[in-house]
Amino acid sequence: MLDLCHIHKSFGDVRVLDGLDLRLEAGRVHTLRGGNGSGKTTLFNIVTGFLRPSSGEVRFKGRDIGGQSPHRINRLGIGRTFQDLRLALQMSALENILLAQERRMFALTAAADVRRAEATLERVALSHQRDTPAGELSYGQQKLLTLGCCIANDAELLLIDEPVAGIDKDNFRKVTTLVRELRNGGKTILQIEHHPSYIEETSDRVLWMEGGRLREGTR
Amino acid sequence: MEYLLHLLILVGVYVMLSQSLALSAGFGGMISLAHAGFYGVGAYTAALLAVRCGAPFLVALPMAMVLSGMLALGVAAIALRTVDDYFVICTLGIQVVVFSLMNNWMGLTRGPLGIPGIPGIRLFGMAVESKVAFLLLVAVLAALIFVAIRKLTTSSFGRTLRALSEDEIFAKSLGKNVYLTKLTAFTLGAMFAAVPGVLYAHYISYIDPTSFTLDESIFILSIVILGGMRNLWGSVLAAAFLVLLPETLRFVGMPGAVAANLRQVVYGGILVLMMFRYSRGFGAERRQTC
Repeated sequence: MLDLCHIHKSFGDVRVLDGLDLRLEAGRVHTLRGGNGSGKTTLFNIVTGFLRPSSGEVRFKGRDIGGQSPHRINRLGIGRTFQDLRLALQMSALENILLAQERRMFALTAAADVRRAEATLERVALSHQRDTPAGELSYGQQKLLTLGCCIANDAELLLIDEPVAGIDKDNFRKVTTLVRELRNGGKTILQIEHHPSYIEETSDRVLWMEGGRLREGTR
Repeated sequence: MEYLLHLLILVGVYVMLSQSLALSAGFGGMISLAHAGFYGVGAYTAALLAVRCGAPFLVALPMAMVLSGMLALGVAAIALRTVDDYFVICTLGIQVVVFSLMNNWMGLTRGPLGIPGIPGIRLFGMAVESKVAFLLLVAVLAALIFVAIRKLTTSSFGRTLRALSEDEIFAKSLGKNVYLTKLTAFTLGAMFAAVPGVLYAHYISYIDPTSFTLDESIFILSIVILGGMRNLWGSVLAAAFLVLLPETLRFVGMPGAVAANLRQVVYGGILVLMMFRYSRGFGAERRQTC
């Protein structure tokens, strides 16, 4: 599904990724762990086109996607969320989902589009907040909404950054259930997370990041 | 009555200008100080085509829109490489350049002498001579622009525009081509701004660069802000308010020697008070429901 070959990334003199290799198998949940500044988010940014690797190759379904713009990479089938929540806060929950699922630049919103967006809201347990501006949702609900946006356009590979960090028990359960459902539905997931029971419940494979490289295992 | 009709025509012109600016500045967050320049390009295109080539209104109108759009496209392709304050300064530069061209390109625009003798509009063989007929034409075109912008802003395009004005990274992560969306919004805004320019040239029958200054750009932006950045009906109200207020102040008894200056002070004071009262504009953005 995704192959990273010998990825290097430096910021000035600071070497963040140092010949990193990673192969993701389709339909599995891979969890990245590592200390602060170990390069986990940098890796996400490289895969999704927000950063260019200093060297190395990024291949998605056999196709070289290194250096492509973020919007093109998303359209190839890679969705992502961010550690610092990113949403259109003035727009309603439904509109955020509609925004995420729309593909055409100019398209009027049909009833079928709204129904599809409502179904996504239901999957992330936010139907009751349909018309609430995203900025007025609780932190946990905003996390769920970012997941809804991530899955709304049916991306095959999902990169999820700390999905359960700082959320309450109820929303923790909802996120866990959703990620398991996504996995059972055939999605490939690469997630950054540190919560032990969440990792245990959702992950097929755990990787530890240190010194700009990855190795199997939790530490 | 003629005076009132004249004022309503001017309100219509500023409604179109504010709606067109609302598309890029209100919905897309691209605050522009160049809008009077695009308005002027529309007016000069219509004036030159009518005076020099005898082009009818229905030919001049699309040509003015295309020319204004092309200028905006060229300019935005560069200016949109910058963001926020830097983008505003870029548009300020564009406004200064366009004004300078109007004021100094004697061979084309006659500079400060302006272009006199612009003929009235003829539509389908009929002359739009009376103020009532002209007001009707202005109202129809203003309504068309309103509907077009409303359709655009409630479509996927408008949603992307609103999202990217909040968070470009979020929009990019959802597969949105942020640059192309902004470029399109800015260009469409300039094309719509050419329409009131064409109408104004034919209506006043004489244009010179003083109608398309930086002050005019700021005035149009003030309408959009007072109306509520993303509220098209708010812009209509704000255009009427800001165009009619100075006229209303003429009827307030003020000492003759300082009346003109005093009116300016009162006008500015009222504007400040209105912004305090309606800090998010007349029509703070209503929630969109689908």
